[in-house]
Amino acid sequence: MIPDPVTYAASALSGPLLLVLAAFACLLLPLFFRQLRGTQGIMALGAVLIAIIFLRRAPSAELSLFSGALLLSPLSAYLWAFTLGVLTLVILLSVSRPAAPEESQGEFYFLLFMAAIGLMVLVAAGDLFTAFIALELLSLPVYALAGIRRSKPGLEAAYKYFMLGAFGSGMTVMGIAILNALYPALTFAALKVGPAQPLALAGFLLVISGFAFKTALVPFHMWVPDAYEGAPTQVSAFMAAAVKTGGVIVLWRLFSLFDGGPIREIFWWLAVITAVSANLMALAQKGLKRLLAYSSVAHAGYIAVAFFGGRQGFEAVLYYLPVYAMATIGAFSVALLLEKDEKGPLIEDLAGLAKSRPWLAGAMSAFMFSLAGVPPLAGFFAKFYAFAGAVNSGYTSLVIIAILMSAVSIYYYLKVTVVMYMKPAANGHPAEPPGIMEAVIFLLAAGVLLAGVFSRPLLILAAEASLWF
Amino acid sequence: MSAYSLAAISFVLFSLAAAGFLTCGSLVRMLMFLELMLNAANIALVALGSGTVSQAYAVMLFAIAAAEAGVGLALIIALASVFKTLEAENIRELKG
Repeated sequence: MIPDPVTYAASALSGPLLLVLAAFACLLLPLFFRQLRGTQGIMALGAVLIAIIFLRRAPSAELSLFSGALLLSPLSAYLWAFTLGVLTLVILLSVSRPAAPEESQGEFYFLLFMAAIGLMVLVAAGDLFTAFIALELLSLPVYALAGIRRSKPGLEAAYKYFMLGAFGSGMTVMGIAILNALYPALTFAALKVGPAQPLALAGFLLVISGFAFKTALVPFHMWVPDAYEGAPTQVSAFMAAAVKTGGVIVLWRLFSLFDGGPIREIFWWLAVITAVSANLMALAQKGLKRLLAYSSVAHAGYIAVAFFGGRQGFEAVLYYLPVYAMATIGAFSVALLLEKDEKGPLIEDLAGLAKSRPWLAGAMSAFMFSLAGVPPLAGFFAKFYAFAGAVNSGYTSLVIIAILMSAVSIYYYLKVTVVMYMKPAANGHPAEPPGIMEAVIFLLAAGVLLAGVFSRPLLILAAEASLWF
Repeated sequence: MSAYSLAAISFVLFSLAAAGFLTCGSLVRMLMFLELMLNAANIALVALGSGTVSQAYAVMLFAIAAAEAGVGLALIIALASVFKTLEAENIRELKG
């Protein structure tokens, strides 16, 4: 049964509110009750599972709350489910391998929850200013999370991410100030009038570059490799899956304000430059986390290609995001499982994995093939739909470049697999009894396979959500 | 002073701050330039915007700028105690 709008809004909003409560509970309760120390991860996991229970099938309508600041629709329900899923996975990873030192456990989950709430608000934001505040709520905790170990690589990652991210925020604020002067309101519906004057164009450019920093489109990607490499691997997984999603959704909203003109042209160039340079730079990488960082930039480029497909493209983006998230979180989990220091394993360290831990190697190959886009894994269908939409809208040259670069990317994804299966191990991998980590990895590997072979349910959900944009 | 000259001041301030951010090498100075960028944008918001909504936006931006300064200073203190330097070129653990 589909509930009436008011009941739905009440139950939908209790999800994020519950996460706020849980965040403070994780931060404060262990300070007062000594016996709760060390259980923050379990508390966080419980809270997320309860928040998932509050997810409801949304009524087919768009509810505008707080005078248009929040829009609840099947789209927001879809993306909130996605956010909670990513959050659950990251919490599971951090329960099994704590990312933060003992005394910072509470802060870690507090910051993680705050970032997740920021993402939930960001994807439901109905106006540009709310989107900006939500973006800050998403990024500020992640800056701190990257450096939570207070170690050299982590802090360097955090400061690089912070400086460039805050620079992007500054540009966004200036753009918002300009647009605020030129338009009667900052809601996305009111901005749709189109830029009549060059000043409005400047405003949009500033806002778009600010959000492109978060989505990691080239040339706004400089922070990505260092931030992903130095941050704790659980946090890198969160950055790749969640922070990127927030940027993508807002960029999509901005992109669809225009039917043509210079902004579309700029997006065209952003997509091309991102797809080409990220894949070329990824070829030379030796570290697994750095490789995944460049892969994340490249996938942002493919998503930008999908923007050109209109509604069909948006449907593809909504399918792409969970598929990419599963593969990249899975690959980061394997990196986490094998890492000996904070920078994560080198690709060569995976040598001989197929012999010592064949199942793990199989799962890792599934993630790599999905990222590369090999059928029948989900990554192939995601790319196929993303590119098909753009071809149908007549952007064939763009798609040809993207497909060529995606063929280049097969080289470096395959390199990981080849190392695992063909190279003898230099020093053997210690066999550990399987735990939560292995469960997460196999779950994700199964997800990557099933979302490809049986893609219909997810596609139907994505199609339904894309109507409410 | 008219709203337009205020806006002109804010644009100049913003460009100077952005240029300063991109050219200086010390983390503390970079953080100061970041704050300057946000405040310049705030001036533009109040000078050009009409109605009370823009002013409400400006007040919310104070809070955001403060939060950003908080996180930035915390990072800088942690960096100073671990790396013993605050020059960006000396903090090079990661490749690239």
